[in-house]
Amino acid sequence: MYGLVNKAIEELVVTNYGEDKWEAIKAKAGVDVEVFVSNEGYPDDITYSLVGAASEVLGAPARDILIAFGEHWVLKTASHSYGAMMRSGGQSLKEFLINLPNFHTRVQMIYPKLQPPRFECTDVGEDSLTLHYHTHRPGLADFVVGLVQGLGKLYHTPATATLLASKAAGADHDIFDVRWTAATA
Amino acid sequence: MKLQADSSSVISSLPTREFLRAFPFYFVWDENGVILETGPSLPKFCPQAAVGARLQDVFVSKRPEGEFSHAMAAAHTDRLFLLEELHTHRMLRGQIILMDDPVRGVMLGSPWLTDPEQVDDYGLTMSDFAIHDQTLDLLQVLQTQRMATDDLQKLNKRLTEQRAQLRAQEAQSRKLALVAARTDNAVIVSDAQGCIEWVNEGFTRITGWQPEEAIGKKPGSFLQGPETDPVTIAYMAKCLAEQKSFRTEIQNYHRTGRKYWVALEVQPMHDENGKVVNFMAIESDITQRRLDEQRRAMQFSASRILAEADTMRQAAGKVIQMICTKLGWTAGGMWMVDPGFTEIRLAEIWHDPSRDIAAFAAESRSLTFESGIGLPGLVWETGRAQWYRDFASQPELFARARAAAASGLHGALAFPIIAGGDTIGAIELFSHEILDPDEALLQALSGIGNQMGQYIVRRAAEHQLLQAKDAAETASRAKSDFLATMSHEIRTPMNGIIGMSSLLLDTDLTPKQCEMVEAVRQSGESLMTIIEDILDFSKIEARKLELVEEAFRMDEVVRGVVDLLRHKAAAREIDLITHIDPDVPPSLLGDPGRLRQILMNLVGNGIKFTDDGSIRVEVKRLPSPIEGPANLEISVTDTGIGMTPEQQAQLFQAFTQVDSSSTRRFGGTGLGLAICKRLVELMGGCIGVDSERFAGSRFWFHLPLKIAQGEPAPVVEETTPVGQPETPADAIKPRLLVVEDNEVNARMAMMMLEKHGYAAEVARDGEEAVDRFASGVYDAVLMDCHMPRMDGYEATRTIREIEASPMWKRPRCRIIAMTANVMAGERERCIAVGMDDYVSKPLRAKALTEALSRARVLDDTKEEADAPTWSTDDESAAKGAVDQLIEELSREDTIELIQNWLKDTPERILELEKLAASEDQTSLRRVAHALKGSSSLFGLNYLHSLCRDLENLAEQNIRLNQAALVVQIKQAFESAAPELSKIPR
Repeated sequence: MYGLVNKAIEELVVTNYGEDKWEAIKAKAGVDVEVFVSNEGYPDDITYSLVGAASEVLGAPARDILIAFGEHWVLKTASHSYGAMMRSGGQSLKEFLINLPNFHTRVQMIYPKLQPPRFECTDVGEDSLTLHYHTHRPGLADFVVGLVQGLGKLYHTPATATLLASKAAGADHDIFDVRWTAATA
Repeated sequence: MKLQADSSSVISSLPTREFLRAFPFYFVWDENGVILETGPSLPKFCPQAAVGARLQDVFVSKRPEGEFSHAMAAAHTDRLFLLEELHTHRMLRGQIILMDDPVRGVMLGSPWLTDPEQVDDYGLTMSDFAIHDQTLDLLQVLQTQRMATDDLQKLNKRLTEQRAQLRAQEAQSRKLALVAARTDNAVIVSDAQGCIEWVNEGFTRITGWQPEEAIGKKPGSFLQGPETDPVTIAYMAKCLAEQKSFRTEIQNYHRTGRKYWVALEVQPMHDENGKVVNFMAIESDITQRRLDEQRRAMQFSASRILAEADTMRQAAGKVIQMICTKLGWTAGGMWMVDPGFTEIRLAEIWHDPSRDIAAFAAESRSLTFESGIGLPGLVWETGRAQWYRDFASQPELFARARAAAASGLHGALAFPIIAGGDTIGAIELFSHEILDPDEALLQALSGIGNQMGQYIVRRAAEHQLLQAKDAAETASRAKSDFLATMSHEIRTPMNGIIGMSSLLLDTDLTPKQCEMVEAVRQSGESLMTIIEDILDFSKIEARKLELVEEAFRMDEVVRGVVDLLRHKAAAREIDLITHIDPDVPPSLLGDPGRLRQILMNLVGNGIKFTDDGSIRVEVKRLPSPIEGPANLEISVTDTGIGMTPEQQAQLFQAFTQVDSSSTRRFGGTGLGLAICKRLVELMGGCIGVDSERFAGSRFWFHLPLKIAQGEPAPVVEETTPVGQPETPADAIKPRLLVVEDNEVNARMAMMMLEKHGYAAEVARDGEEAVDRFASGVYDAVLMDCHMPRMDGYEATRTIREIEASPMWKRPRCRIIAMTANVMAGERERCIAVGMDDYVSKPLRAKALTEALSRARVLDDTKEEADAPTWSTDDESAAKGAVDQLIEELSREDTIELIQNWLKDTPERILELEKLAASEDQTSLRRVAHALKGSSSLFGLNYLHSLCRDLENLAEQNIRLNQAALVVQIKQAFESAAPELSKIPR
């Protein structure tokens, strides 16, 4: 996994719970990495362990942690790290979502080893679209929910992502019904 | 390159809309360089590049470098172009395509961005770019690279910090490691189970074990030994099991087997989760301190044993036992050098009862040694302590070596007992073990040897002192007894001579007889004066003379003396003149009787040594501080024969007189002035004389006298002539029993009593007195103290026993002691046996009638008995005291004071009743003392004297008569109370 993702988990914990909790989570997860380098690839286990340990140390379900993490990713990590790039991603939530597949295509091209997820948008309507999330990494559907919610907040367009089909339940990939409030979009 | 219309290419049929999506930043110009059309995104990025504008007005070419024109563009179609918009300095990169007909130039490019922020700055979005445009990829790479750089910088910073921390910690650790390694203390780090992981150099120094020998073992397994305290071991094990820190002291064993003591502190060491992973022990060697303590304790114990022991042998046995017990030695003996210093022999032996050393003890008892022979002899000869590792192995040196071996004794030491620099004995000690000499122990033991020597010296000195004290006390007792006897034996007949001649003078005598009787009386008086001088002087020398302090008037004392001596002076035709300065305080505090004695002596001397002229008595006040006593000078100046300086120097010395001829001419003991000097000095003053031969003498003395508050009672003349009855004739007088063995004294007392209207009978000794008293007719008894058969003390006790019987219906009768014994303590003795008052012999009318004034006719019922009458004297004394209180406080306060006292006193008396004759004499004394004080406040002199008597009895723990005194106190209070409450009204 991209170092930036782990860094985002670190930021989320440190910002909301303090440095000591982060050290405790790292110790619990058995992760002895001083600084995550954003564009460096790390074993996926690290990310999963960190999420599991955070759930345990902070006493919150992994699902909540992932959703919070997704929101934080969009609102803090990506906005800060990508800044202009994020803003240039689209004038609206809808536009951003439509650009999302191209964005990940570029990442894939630049860092071929990272195996970033692949997104596709279908059934694009005025206030909804169907988001297809292709990944070999299991259990991150809630992270996508958090991402969509975070984007909704970024564009002041309250949005929801409802899992229509789940890879965990046997589907080919995760499919989300994404809806937003058109009036403010 | 030129874009050729080529029918074979599908590109030529590319719809404009799609071309625009692929090149949104393109622009086209004509052969004049005028812009003809632009892509949809170009105006956003290059606002100057509008249709109609000339190329060179909008752009400058950075690569290839030069003015950007159609010709210039046409010349470099194979080059990558980098154009800068002149106005905004934005860069556009791309490729030039030329078309021939019509001539046109086309720039296919996109913005050259080097910072992702520029997208935002230029108002571009992703949709402004062609999807294939790698600019966006470049920007993403740049962005990611920038983040990665930030991360690496952060990592670098953190690593730098951590490295600094590590270095600091390393330095600290190195220091600590050095300290741990080099410290004198042993440091042991064990794992959680107590097995050694690391030890320092100090550990090896203290224990003798190398680290590699110790690691992996538990310290107790190889450091502890048979004498290690099991209680301490258990305590340590418990603390370790509970993973608690602890401190203790323990005896361990060196690798060589030598015992040593350590103080150790053990701390558990925890990991970050609070789990104990190690124990650290720091041990310091305290063997020396322990030994010092042991030695000090031995010396202290020896001192205590010596202080408590009655004999040296007793002490020696205990000292040897104590040392052996403390050191773990087996036996010891004390050897003493004989008085002739020829040999040393065993005086005392002690051994551990669990060991059989009978053979050795028997041999030791049977032997004596000369100086230099045997262990005791060696100590005697050298005066030094000796130590032998194995006494038993040296039969050639020690006669007792084989016996010692048989008794299992090996190590031996001996030290001298030194008194006054000489070795007078030796203490030897034996151990079952072979032991190396210990110099410090020998030193400590030598100290004990010195203590024992000092003990012997001290005991001898104490013995001598005790003997001397006994001798001195015997001598002193003999002297006191002699004085008492002399006082009694001489004064009793003198009493008869003076008293009888005085009474004889009242009878019808011829003038010649009168003259002769007068001479007898005069001689008696002179002899009495001499005797009293001697007694006074003896008392002063024996420090038994006590001064009283009471208020008196100086003028009255002076007048009294002058009046007494006036006829003597007149007989020699000498004028007696007195002068008292007006600033002399009228009322003073002191002993007027003794003052009068001094003045009588000085004035009497003056008369004696003056043939004509005058004697002048003067009293002056000398300068003195306003506060405090008045300093007075009293002088007696005569116009007599005077003295030479040599004669003056001899004055005031006992038993000397100015010269032998004077002795014959003037008579006397020569004690007068010596007594005066002692009395003046006792009063805190000084005495002196100014004299010139044939020009008279001036005797003076200075006295510091406190100024009395209020008016003192008039001075009582002790020499009131016998025969003046003072009590009203019509009062019914108590019937008296005079107990007196001396015929003359008895007759004189009877005559005196008769004159004062008392009915009296005589008993010749104590037994007769008790018999007569039992008849129940007497109201008071005058009791001589020294009589044959039964003395006055015994008689009084018996009378009091009779009175205490329930069969005796009469109240307590008053018993007044008559005694010529003027020694201190006599009054207390009389009161103690149950007497009520005391008059000294020879009897004086005034003192006798005063003592009898408190006696009253007794009824035959106990209940109403004894209530003392409230006399006018009592009244005036109480009134005087109360008036003074009113003056000092106020009338209201005084009334309150009296009321409180009247309320509280019955309780106090109740307490006295409980305490009288009880074990708690201390409380009795305290309560009596308190009541004495408060009664004197109100001038209740009788109550005061009763309390004082009770206090004295309690102080001496004389319980007899205490209850009777309390009864008297109660009665005295009851009769005084109603009168006292009336006074302030």
